[in-house]
Amino acid sequence: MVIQELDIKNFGKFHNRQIQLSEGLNLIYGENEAGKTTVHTFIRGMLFGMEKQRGRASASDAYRMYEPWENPVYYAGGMRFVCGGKVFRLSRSFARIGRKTELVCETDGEELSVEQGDLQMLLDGMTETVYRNTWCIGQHRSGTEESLAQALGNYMAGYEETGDTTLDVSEAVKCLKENRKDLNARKKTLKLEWEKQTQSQELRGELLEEEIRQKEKKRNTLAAEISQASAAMTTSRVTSPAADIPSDTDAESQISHRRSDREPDPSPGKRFQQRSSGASWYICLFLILAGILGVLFSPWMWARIGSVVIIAVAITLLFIRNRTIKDQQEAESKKENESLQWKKKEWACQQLLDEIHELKLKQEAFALEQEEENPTLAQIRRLDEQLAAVDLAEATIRQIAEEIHAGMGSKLERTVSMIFSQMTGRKYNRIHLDEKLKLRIHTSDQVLTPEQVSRGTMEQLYFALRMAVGQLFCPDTPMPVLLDDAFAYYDQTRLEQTLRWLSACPNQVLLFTCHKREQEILDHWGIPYHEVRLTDY
Amino acid sequence: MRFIHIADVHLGAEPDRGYPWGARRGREIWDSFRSVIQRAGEEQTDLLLIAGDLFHRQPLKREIKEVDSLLAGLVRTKVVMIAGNHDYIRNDSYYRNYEWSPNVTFLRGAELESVYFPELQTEVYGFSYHSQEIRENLYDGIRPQRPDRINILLAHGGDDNHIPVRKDLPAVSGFDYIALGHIHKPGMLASGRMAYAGALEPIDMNDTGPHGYISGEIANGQPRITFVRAASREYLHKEWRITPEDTFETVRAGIRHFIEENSSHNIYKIILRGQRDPDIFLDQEELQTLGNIIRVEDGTEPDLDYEKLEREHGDDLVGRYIRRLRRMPDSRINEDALYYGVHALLRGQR
Repeated sequence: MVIQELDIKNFGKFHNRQIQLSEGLNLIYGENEAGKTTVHTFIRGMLFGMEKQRGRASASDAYRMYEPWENPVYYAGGMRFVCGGKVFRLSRSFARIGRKTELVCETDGEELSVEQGDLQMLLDGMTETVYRNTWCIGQHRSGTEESLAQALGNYMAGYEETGDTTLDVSEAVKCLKENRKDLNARKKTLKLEWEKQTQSQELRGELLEEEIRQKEKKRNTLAAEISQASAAMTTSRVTSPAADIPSDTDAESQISHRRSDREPDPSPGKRFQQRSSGASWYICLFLILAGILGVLFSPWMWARIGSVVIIAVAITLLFIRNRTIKDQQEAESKKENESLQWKKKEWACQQLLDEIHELKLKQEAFALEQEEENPTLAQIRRLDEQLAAVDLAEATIRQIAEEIHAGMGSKLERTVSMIFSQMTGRKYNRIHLDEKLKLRIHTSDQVLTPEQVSRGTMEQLYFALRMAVGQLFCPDTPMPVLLDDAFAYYDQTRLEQTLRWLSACPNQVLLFTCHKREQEILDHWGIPYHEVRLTDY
Repeated sequence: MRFIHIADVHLGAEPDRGYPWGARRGREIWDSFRSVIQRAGEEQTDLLLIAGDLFHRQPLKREIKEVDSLLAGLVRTKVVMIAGNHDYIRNDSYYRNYEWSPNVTFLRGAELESVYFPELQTEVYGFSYHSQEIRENLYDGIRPQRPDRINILLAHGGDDNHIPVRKDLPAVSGFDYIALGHIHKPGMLASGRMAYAGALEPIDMNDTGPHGYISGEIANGQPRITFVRAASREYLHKEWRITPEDTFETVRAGIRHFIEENSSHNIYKIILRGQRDPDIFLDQEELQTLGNIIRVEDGTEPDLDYEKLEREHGDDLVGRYIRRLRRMPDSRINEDALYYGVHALLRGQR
């Protein structure tokens, strides 16, 4: 973009002033207070507008500063420039009342709209802030050498290639951290759930095991008892054969055999006992009767005594008999009880066997269940996948940011190095940022830190940096370089080098100065330029 | 001759164990079995065929006694059954020695047996599983002995590891009807001369669709069968499509409404599909509380047009990120990483 003409209608101290500019190097000379700053503020205002600040800022904002001395209501101006091969005319009225902006393409008559961003498009998206930080170089910055170096370092480290969108890596990483936290929280809940489930599963398994063990113990005890009893019964019976230690079913079947032996077929001994008990009853009765008769009717004394003795004997016999019968009965009922108990034990044994079998089946079913896919576990796995994805995302973002930085850094470094090298007549051929983001300056045989070079060199480097950034920012539409007394502290050699470089650069250069030095050098070296004397008008 | 054909009752199974409605499922299976028997009694069915897997696993003695007492209550109906691969006759199986009631015939052998009912002029053939798998096509060579009788084959199988069954078996073998078990989904084959009764009650979340039994009659050698729905619940799979305009609340409300409309008694598996707004989060655990939902699968994709974004962002961080992730091999993790990264980066931009 090349500015052809400034039409300052009413701005600051200027009223109806036209200034012609050409492409290439323009030297705009004016004594102090001639209005140099006013002019280039005007240029910036035309390009980017002038917003009146509010509140405290309004005390010193540019808007107020350049409100025209005369007739402040009429605060306006125009500018003609060439961009992309076409000529445009821009006019603005800055006053609060009646603010107006017009942009017309003189080449094809098209009316454009600044509000809709047509101007900005022509400027390749350049904003005022960026402009001020790059092409627009004002009076030299005060500050220590360190801060200059640091500022340079920071600038280069934080530089982003794309203008508008500031992609914040740290924001993205923060967002991912939130994702991760959320996923972990859900995973924790599920894991607790899973632990509860496994615990209750294990418990069930344990309980089943325990039940089985208990029942088997009981059964084994019973079986042992039964086999003992069957062995005992064998030895007390003549007819049945002796048995070895039987297995469960064997013991039972043997016992049931013996039981069936017992009932329908009482032993001969018992039969005899039955019969004899009947017989002895009659004998006793007969003896007692005989005794009584003898006592009553016997004439002789000793016969009576004998009868009494017989009665006594008979009664004793009766007692003994009853006792033995009772004993027998007790023994029999005891035997019956015993056999009943064995019956019960056998039945219990069988029952236990059934129960054990059932429990074992339950165990089988339980084992089958455990093999099935648990949904909680599946959900936990899914969360793990997602966590891995978040990690991958973060790592990749960091990696790419690193690469971009390295890439961009190097592009910027190269550009700065090139400009700087040219400006210093190849004295310094390269600069770069080391891994700690500290500036390093290379000569052909040394690497220097900013502390090791002069202030002047640092300033040149600063200049080179701004030029480089500007170039990288809009490679397609080189903007006019505005220099407002930028070389006040340069020494002769440096000034020469810089001016040479400026005359060779593709941008239009508007060099505002109140010194004669620049002109002298340009004249001396035959460098072409366009002169504007502000005080002439 | 009128018959009822059931199979795969899986008594003793406890489906959906651990889920809130799971406690009742086991009993519902028994209840359904009881109602079929009751039906057979009411309709005075001639023959009740049970084509295997009556029990879900080795039956307990008391369970067999229960079943027997139910069947014994049938006055007119004759029952024929075989053991399937789930309740196969193991060495210690109670099936081995159990004496069933007179109207129940259990074709226990591992080799083909048959039972003839003269009053029905019907002969039923079949054999039981004595192992968990049978790979041979044992049904292919079977032929009925007396073609003048109504011949029914009671069979259990139909996949590679459980007696493969050929589709034209009725025509090849000459049986009037082949009553099949093993496949849980009911279905008719060979123009109605062969059929799977399907599981009486669905056992697993993939047993979708109606379940019940087959009721039929054979007249003049031709079987005519119909499927009767008898299950107390169904498993339903629902694919729920969402759009970027949906939020979690709309999805939630929609699913709840759907469940109410389709009976909150049934059991659902919800599969979410479609494009979702990348900012919203579909809480699967929350969705599962909406009803008898056994599973929620999230198959949605975030509504991000990655190609467009890549073009718009060119060579900056976002553009490079998309390009790099898309070049990675296809996997769930890489897909998710693409989404998380782009979402985080775009968030940072705003």
